[in-house]
Amino acid sequence: MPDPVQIAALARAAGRELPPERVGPAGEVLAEVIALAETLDDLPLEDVEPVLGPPGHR
Amino acid sequence: MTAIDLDLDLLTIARAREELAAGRMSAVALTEAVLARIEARDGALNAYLHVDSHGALAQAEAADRRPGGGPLEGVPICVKDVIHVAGLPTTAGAAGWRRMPTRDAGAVARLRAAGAVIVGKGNTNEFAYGIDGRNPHHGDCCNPHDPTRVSGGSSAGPAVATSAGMALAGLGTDTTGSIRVPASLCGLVGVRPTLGRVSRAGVVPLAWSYDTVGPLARTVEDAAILLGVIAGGDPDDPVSSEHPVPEYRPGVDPDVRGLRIGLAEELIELAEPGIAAVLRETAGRLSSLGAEIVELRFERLRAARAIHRVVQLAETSQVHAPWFDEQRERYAEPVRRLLEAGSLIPATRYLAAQQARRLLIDDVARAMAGIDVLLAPATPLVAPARDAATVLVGGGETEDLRTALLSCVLPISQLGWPALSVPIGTDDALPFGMQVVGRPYTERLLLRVAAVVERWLPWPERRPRPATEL
Repeated sequence: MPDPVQIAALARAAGRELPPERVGPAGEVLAEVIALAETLDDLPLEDVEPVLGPPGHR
Repeated sequence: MTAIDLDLDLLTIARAREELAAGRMSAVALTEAVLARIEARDGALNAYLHVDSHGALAQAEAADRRPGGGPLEGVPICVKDVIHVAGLPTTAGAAGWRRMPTRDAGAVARLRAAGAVIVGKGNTNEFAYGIDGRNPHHGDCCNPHDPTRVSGGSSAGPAVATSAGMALAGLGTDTTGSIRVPASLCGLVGVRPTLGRVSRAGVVPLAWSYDTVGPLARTVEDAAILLGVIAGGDPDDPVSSEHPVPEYRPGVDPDVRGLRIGLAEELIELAEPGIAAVLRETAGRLSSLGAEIVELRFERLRAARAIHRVVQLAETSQVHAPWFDEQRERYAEPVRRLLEAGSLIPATRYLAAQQARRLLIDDVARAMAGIDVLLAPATPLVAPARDAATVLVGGGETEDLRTALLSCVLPISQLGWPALSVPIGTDDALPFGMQVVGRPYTERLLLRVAAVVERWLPWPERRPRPATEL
């Protein structure tokens, strides 16, 4: 899990600075989301166009 | 004849329009009956955040003065409180967040042009960020079949109002499942249209990649009438489509002969055994009417949860960016921490999730080659208790309530395709629905299939029991 200093730095870089007491709760959720995101790491994404816009309109 | 003579609990839009057009009932009488029902029941059900009695009666009086009228002339409708109605507050179910729109949302403008009477704004999860209809700021919406149980959300208010006779239909939004889930738990027909089929102009977003606007209704025909009114391009919504809007009503004798119907096996396996059994039995009945049933599995479906979590969290966080600092202390804690975390998701993770989503869509499209529609549960269980944090699901496992309610609808939401929920059964008088899913702009076909299914559990058999019996 990213440490609080990393979370705070990430928030500053994102332009969404967090009050000190919010770093922990945000970090917990982010850790869970990153863990889920990592389950997509092994997918064959080369040459795959991301869905940006209504996905059903072909 | 008044709406009370007709029995507000049995009345459909189609029947109401017949009576209104023939002059056998007035729009004022119908609206007065709905307002009286709200007075009698909404204290216990909490479907409305704002009731516009004066405005609704004025609209009804105007409807009575217009001869003929549009397809929804005089029909009382509940609009989810993330959708702007001119002159009424939009609170999005939040605390201390309020907008006073001077223009109707695109879909509401179409309802009004069709003669609808907008009764008020329906309860919703805070900023529509939830699937159960619970609201810590304004009180939970309660299931009219059993008020100790959740209504489902986040289009909770429109669903409950429609089910309990406090409107004849509702206008909601579906991002992950927020029309289909309350439709399933409240015994209604709910349509998530093709993304872009209905204008999103004037709607408080949840996640741009997933948001749709759609109807909740008592019958398939009513849902089709509503969809026909609200569908279509809107210059104020760059995502909306100019794809032609067909006649959606299924007609007198819809059939399924010759259709190839897929069963989403992974999703059926998530459901409680009783629900799965009824779904398979429904498929069997469709087969006996001439459809071919095909069991399908999707290689990439298991990636849906991760995709959705990343994409929605990031997008919703950005939706709230303009007001987040000011609103921070007023959010309920679960929503606040999700929004804070969402702003930290790297763009690379977001883009990878959207690439994975493309793989999932292509996988489903390939598996559905030659298949006309797909069937899946709308919810894996009937409405849980309002104080439940966890529930038992199909495999006998315990799961948190949110994950369980999302499990069958979330994967389908990745596609951008249309999906509706139609009731197929009840368990101890609590209803549950089945999703009918199709390719983009096949809503007419989905409604046709749903109309056949609906014959086996018509509205009079799945409406809530009278309040005196609860």
